[in-house]
Amino acid sequence: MNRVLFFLLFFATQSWAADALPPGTLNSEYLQFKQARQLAPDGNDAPLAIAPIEYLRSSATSDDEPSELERVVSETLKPPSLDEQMQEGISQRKLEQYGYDIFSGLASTFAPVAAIPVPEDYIIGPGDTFVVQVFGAVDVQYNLVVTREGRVLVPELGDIQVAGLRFDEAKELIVESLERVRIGAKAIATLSELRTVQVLLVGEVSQPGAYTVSGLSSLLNTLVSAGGIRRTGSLRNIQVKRSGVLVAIFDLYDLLLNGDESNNIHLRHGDVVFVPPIGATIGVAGEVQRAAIYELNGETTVGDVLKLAGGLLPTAAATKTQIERIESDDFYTLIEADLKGDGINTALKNGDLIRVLPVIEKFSNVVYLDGHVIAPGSYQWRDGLKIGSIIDSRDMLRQGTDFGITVIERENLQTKRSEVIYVDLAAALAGDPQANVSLEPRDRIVIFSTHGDRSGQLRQTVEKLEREATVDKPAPVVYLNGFFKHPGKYPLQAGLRVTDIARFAGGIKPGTDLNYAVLARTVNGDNKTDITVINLRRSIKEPRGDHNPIIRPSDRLYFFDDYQDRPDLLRPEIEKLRQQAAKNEINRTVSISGEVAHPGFYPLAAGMRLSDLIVAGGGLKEGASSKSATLARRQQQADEFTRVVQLEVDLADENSALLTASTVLRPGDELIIKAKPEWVETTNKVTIKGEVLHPGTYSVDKRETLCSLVQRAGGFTENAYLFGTVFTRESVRQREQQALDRVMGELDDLLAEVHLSPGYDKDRKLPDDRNTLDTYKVIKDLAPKKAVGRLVIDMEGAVKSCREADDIVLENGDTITVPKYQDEVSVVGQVYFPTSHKFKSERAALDYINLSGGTKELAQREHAYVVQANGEVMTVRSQASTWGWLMSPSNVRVTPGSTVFVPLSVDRINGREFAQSWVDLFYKLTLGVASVDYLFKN
Amino acid sequence: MVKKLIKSTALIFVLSLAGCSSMEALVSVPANQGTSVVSDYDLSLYQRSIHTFDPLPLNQKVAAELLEKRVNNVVILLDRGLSVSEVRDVPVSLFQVEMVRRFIATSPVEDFSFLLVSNDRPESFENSRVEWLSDREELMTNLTNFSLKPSRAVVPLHLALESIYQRIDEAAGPTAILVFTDWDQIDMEVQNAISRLAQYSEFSQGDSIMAEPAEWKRSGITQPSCVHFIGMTNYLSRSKGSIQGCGISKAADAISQPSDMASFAEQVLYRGPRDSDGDGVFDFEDSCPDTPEGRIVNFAGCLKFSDAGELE
Repeated sequence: MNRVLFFLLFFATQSWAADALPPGTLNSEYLQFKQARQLAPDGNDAPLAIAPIEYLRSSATSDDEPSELERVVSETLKPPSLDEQMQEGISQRKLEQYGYDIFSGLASTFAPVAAIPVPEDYIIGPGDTFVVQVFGAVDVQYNLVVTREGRVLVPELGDIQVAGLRFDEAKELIVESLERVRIGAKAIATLSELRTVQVLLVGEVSQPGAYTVSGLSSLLNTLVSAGGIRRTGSLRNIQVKRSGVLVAIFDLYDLLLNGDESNNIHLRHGDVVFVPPIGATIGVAGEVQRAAIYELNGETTVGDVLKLAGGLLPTAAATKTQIERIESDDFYTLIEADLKGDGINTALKNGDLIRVLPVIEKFSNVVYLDGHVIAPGSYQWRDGLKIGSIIDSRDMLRQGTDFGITVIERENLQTKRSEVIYVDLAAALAGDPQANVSLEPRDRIVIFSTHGDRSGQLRQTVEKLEREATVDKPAPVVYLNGFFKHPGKYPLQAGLRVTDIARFAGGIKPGTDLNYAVLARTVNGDNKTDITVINLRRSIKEPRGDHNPIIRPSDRLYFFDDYQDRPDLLRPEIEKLRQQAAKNEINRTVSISGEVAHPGFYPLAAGMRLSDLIVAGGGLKEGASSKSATLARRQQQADEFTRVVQLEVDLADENSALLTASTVLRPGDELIIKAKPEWVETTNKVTIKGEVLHPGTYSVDKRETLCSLVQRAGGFTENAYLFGTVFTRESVRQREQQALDRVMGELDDLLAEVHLSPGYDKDRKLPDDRNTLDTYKVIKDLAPKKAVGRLVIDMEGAVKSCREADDIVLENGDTITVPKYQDEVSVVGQVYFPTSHKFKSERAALDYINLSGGTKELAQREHAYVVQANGEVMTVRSQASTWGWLMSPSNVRVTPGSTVFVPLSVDRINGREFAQSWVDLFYKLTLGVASVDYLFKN
Repeated sequence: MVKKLIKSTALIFVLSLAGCSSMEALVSVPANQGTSVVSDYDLSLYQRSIHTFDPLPLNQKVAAELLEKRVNNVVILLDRGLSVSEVRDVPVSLFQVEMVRRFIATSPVEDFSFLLVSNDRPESFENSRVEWLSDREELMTNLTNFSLKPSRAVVPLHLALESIYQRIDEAAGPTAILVFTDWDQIDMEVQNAISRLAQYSEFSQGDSIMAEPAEWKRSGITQPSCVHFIGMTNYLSRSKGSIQGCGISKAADAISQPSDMASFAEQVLYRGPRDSDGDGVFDFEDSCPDTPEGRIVNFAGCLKFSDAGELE
């Protein structure tokens, strides 16, 4: 008994484990089996043979190949409708015959197990071996084999008839007999080896033949050891015949489904196990616990078979169950059965396939709340549900919810297309019956925030609508471009107007150009772009007027502010219009250029006038001439020649000889707005600093002079040192800077050349590269980085008489600095003690140099410079036309506030002659810098 | 044998020379003078084209596009006092007459009153001598009466203009004055004369700003008269003498061809197509010529949106 239980447990776990696998893995496993099948030899048709008890099954899985029946049933599982094809993954699983896998994947041998206890009801027969131990008075052990006559021969006792006795009876008999004979001794008897029995397995078994099995074997053990039942064999009608008499009919389903093994009898010697061919079968596919092919044994209705299959899954759509049946005229038919009604009693025929479809994976009675809410998700729908009842409290909405607009996305149950409904949320929550719309099942309610990206939340809806679009039914989507709070694509509700959609996009923003907005529309049929210019002021004033038209699907709406580049925004439309020029027509674009805010190309709307184009261009700039503009018009002549006619336009006067602003524009017109004559963006500013009565920045007109400026500044103070006036001018500075940059650039080039050129090595006079580089570094360090732009002027001459000849016309950015009087002369550069000295009229440049201790060794005395207080630079050398006696420099007179420079002799450093010329250059260009700095240090 | 060799060598030499020369002829690079010049037209081509002027009459366009007249009257003044007597071997006077002929041939003469005067016939400025004409044949006949030789007595251009202003008041409505002259002729005097015309237009007789406006001024037509110049000896157009941009100045060459002349005449004579409902779509392409004011129209001139706001 225990032994049988063990086997049962073992088989059951095997088969259930296989069933519990997900469909996909099952299929792939099945494929693997199939491949293995093709490689392994088929054992089904092995000749009838008496196999030994330890028969090794060469191919453990030989019976796993799908039978003909399974193949046929699985092929008919093709989905009969498109709807069902969608569920293919669930119902298209291959069906297998139920129960046969109990015989697969088991241990290859069926050795009778000696270690398990022998059941009490075991019938002793010839061949069983008893072990008998006697102890007490004597101590012996016997191994006693039951003879063919059914006796055991006990020494000193004789024979005992045991065959036919139950094990416990035989044991008691032996022990009693021994104890009776041997007084005082105790005996223990047990079975050591069991006899074997020979049974015959015939019919639809894998390996039919005679089998020698352990005497303990049951019917099922024997079948398993014989390789199981073929898929063509019946599991429900296994017969055991003993001496020609049917002793048991075993239904394996009773065991598998109910655990009932009452007919799993122990086999006796000479029993015949007969497996008849399989009986009627029914396939069960789809949403049942165990989809498989079942053999019938008395079951007649769908309900019976579903019980075999373990019942329906919760996901089964029981009311729509289909039964495929082979009719007598050799065709399949389909019978529908309502398993919740009478269908459960539908009679079955052999070969039927019951297909239990899954429920559609859709929620039907929900609405979905999305967007800017605390808890987005599904909510229960009930009849008469309204927005206000879904959002029953404002606490459901997050901070910053836009109460102006909510979108309801709805599936139209008739057309199966998506629709949207825009709802005023605030009104809906307040209970306004018009805004508080009734919800339909499966509605999606999108709540917006005032600041978030709106089109992102609507993308899903918009994409769905765009996918549904066709030529005759364009997507009900409107594209909002430009100056909207939330630009992007919006789904369209029938009958929405421009201001409505603007409100849904966050409202017309402050700063929107109310005079010019563009509605671009693709006209159905000829695919042409149609432009409407909209005056938003009128749209707001007349909500049902021309300027607030109803938006059609796929319209584009452009709003502008004062800063956006309008032609850039409108470029896609312009490009389309250019492509769409009809035969013999100029494309419907116009352009405006010149003094307007947004010059460029604009689409031409019907009846557009010059003034409209100026409005479109953002209006005239402040510098635009209001009087005259030029309109270039392309005229196509009758002979197809095109002439460009330049027309003068009067923007101010309606009644002029010129074309007027009310002139109608033609395609291709170009309007050029001229600037006002001598227009200046800002007035010229000059700055006067230092020793004047009212220093500061003054605005000057075009021809204002230095003298008049000084007069406006109230004249000079008594400390003013007119000779030392520094006059800097921006234009001069820029020129100087350019020159300086060029020189520095050349120097850089030269440096690079020195690096690269090997030719220098030949010249003995030249130093090696290291020194050359040093030289240029010194020169570069000497050079100033920034030009000053000082203009040397004669201030006294200009101011004294105010005569035009001496006066200076001021420019924008001029700076006049009048210093205090200075009675010093400073000496800088290569002197022993650079310092300032008291000006004395009898001293000249060289005297000051001597006062500073004279020149150093590296100084270049003959190249010394004097920067006079008025900015003039004079070399000591150039003052005298010759170099004077004995080549010594002449002594230049200096003015108070001057600076004397003694330059470094570059030649002394390295012997490079031309390096000196660079130094000269820099000094001449920029010496003013140092002196000016010096002047204002005090 | 040797002789033959020499011969053949010589032949090869000659052939190679010929090859060189032909190569040179293939690629001819013009010498670069260093300055860009506007070269003369090919005269023969030009003279041929004089007689092959095939006018592009404006009648059709006027009828098709319902052009509105800019002026009622046209005064054509031939300036006979040009400094140059010939242009490309053709007498300027002949050239002038030809240009006038082309203008008349292109214009719908019947719709305007033409006055044909020249400043070598001072008597033509007097009222009785020269008639306003509206007949193409008569105009052409008159044109042939102009002497092709310059007269000794020529009225200065600005005086001629002033005289014309006296006659403008005879005719009703604005007038276009076409002066066939030369850019050199337009001096300060002429410019002043044109400025005075602007005053005449503004204030009628021009003596006083208090004066009564002329009849046509009162009738609501406010387009004043303009003076246009055709430069006979010039190659390039200039905006000389244009007062308030009203007048057009064109070189004769720029308008001598049919389509150019048609474009010029259209600019001088017509304002543009009529638009009776003022919707910005001209009547000749307006399917709905009585659109209510202030409505948005489509390119067919009809209402774009119905009263409900839908596309019609």
